Amino acid sequence: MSSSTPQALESYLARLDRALSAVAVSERAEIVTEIKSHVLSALERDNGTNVEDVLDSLGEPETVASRYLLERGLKPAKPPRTGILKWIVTLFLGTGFLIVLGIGILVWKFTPLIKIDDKNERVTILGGLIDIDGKSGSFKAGDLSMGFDENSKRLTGSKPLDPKKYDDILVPFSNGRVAVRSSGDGSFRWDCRLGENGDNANVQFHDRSIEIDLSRANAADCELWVPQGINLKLNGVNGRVKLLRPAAFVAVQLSNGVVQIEPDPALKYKYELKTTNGKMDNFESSSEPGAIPLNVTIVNGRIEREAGETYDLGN
Amino acid sequence: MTLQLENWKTQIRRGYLELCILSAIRHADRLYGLELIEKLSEAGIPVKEGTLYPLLSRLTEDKLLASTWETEASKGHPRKFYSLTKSGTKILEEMRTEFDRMVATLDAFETETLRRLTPATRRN
Repeated sequence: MSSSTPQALESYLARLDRALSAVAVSERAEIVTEIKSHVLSALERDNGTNVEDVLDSLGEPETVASRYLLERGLKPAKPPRTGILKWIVTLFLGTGFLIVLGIGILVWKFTPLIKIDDKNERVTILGGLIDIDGKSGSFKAGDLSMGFDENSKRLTGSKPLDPKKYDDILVPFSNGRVAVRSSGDGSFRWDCRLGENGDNANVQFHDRSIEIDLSRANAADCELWVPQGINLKLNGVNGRVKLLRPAAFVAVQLSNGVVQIEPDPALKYKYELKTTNGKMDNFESSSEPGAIPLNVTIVNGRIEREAGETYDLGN
Repeated sequence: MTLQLENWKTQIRRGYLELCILSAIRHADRLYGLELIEKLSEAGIPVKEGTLYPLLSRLTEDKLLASTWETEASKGHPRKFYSLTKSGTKILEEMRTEFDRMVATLDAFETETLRRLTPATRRN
């Protein structure tokens, strides 16, 4: 018997043992011992032979093991893969799948819906279906394109509003820019440039509110001066709202667009800001009793903090 | 050799090999694996070790064979000796009867065919 060979035999038997893991331990030990006995007997029988030849004649240990398993009606041994490697592979594939799924959902939710170009004040929604250009004040919704020229309709007016008689100013709009400032003299003023369907815009006086309905004007570029003590409620689709140093309660509901807030450094605000599919700058909310409530809810878009240079004292 | 013939041989050898193993062990009274391989090989039934040992294992599990480990004084390692159990002996006899019957049936076919063919050949 050659003495330089136990290594090859031991490694063969170890592989056989591993491939037989589906078999009960006692039976497995019996099988491995018998194969070992066979190899040793074969070496005894023929001095000219070596362990490699005997093992070659037996065949791959996994093949031998699979015959044992087949004879027992068990599934043949799978290619060797250690337990830990199997877990790593499973974890890796599983994590990869979840990441791809997550990115897929994010891309699906955001990409086609809204694109905000800061430099050009441009908001593109639904992959360009609705395109709002803040600089020129033009709007495009589907194949409908809007702009303001010298012949644009204009809706202007002014009315003193006594906070004892009026609670709210309501401004529904679609496709528009609305800039809000506070009025120093207790009167409500409005100055709107309107698009093609500007005739549909109107001012309505209700019991305790005044409504500037721009929702059917298709496009509007408005400046509003709101007196203290009156709530302003803006409700719009596709647009940009600027709240410049607001001094009274403002509620904005906007689908698709941007709301910019320039807080008055002398005032405290109680912010309630919500975005769905979007993001917002950081605003410091005050819990003081005199804080002015600013409620902004936006779907597809964002809430930004305005720096303040744009504040026009002339108004 | 065609694949079909190979498949057929594999199938028919399976049962035949079991019969030969049982028969060889019975006639030797008891054998260990390597001895059995040599006996079968001498008789013109070459069998791979990788096939034989799993088969011996299953026949033992089916209680047709009994096995004992024995270490010969002069050798350093134990050997596993196989012998037939009572039910192994009984089943071997039944297998042998069945096998003989099958061969006889096949022979009968060929004798019959020969008898029928002979007059027809004569006509030409």
